[in-house]
Amino acid sequence: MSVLAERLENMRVRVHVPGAGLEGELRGRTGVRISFEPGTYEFRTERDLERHLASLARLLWAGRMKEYYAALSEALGEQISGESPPISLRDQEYDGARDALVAEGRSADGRIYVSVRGMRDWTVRIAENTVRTLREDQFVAAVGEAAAALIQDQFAKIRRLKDEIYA
Amino acid sequence: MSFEQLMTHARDIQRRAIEEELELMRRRIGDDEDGVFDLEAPVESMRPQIERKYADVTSLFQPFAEMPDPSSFDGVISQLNQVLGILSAGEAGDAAKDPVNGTIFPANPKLTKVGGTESYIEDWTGPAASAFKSEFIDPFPAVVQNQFIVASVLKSALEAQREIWKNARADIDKIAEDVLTALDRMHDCGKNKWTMTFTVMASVAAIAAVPLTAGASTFALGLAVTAVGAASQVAAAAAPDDPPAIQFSGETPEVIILQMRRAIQKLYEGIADQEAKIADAMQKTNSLVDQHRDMFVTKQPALSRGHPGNIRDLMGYSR
Repeated sequence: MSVLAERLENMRVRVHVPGAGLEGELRGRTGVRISFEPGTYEFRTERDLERHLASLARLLWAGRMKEYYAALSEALGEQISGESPPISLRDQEYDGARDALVAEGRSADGRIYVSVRGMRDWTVRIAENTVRTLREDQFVAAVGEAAAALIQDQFAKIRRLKDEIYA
Repeated sequence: MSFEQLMTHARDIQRRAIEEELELMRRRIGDDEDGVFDLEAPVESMRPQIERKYADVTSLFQPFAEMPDPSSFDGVISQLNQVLGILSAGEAGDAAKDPVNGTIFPANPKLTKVGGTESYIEDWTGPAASAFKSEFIDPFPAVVQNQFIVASVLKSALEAQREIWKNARADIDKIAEDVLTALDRMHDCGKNKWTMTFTVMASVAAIAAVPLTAGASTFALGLAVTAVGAASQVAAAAAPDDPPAIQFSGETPEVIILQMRRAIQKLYEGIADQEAKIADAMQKTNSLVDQHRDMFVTKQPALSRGHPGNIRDLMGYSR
């Protein structure tokens, strides 16, 4: 396993959403686990949760990219903090398509749906009465499922896109 | 990671390239054939062809795994340092300074005693005596200085050679590491680009011609030896330019391995280029010493070829 793969497998990113009593952690490539300020879950509404989870996703993604570039810099022995602008036509085509790429994921019970466009515009939809129906630990697990599914969808679509444009 | 694992990395690269290419086939066939549930049979049937495609990958690294160990030069370099200590006349100014890297060598007090022999041989007269003075005592300091310079040139050339192997090891190790990283990274969202700096190309520094000491008037004036040294050990002003950096990129195993071949080829060329610098300097130094041997070795006394048959005293009698 390369240095990069090893670091990515062991990656841990922790963020908190200011003013929302909500924290989230990403472990490895697909392990997302949220946690609420104790005793607050039952009083939340689905709409609030949708907004807060979208913010959390944005923060986790930003944190993840920072860790990713740190791992990459270590693997390649040079400081890398972002991508250089696309030059070739294929690179430009790829960048454009990637920005428009939509990835999505659902929890097993279908109550939680997340999607993202270009890893930038996040949407979270939570079915009505979810807070009343699911216990906190069940909700946390469902978010984890939806997040993992979205991440895997994104990887699969990126791979298809690269095959299409570069292979 | 370390050079010792080079062949392990090489085998990993070959294995990963084959697996990734099979994965690519799996995706392609999966896309083309909707509803085909068993992808494995058609994909596996392509394995021999793909294995052949990457069959030589591991062997490309083998010659580099067999490069000389840089530390194998340490012993002989250390011996030459001792030689320099012995030959150091240590007079004021540059006499005792290694002309390539500026190391100061303290004077060897034994060398100063040669000049003092004159008073011991005042009573010795005749052609042998005057030849001894003019051919041995007088040129002695210059000859020692020139020997010092040649020894220093040899030592620096060895240091430069050692530097080539040290940098070449680091470079081939990085090539292998970068390819493994690229094979992992090609699935990530970012464009798979990486830069390789060929540090071997900055191993050997050319030193401005080192002037030989003319000393007694019989020596040719204005001669200089061409020296090379390890870039890491010469003054910054003499150091070679920054080594070239090349950017590679690849989103499929085929392209990545192609880039790897390019990089390996470039490394070969870099090693040859740097070796040529040392060879060139050594050839020039060798011809110079050959053509002006008397500047480096005092003449053999006629008496050393003498025997009762050919020695006569002043009256012509043999002894």
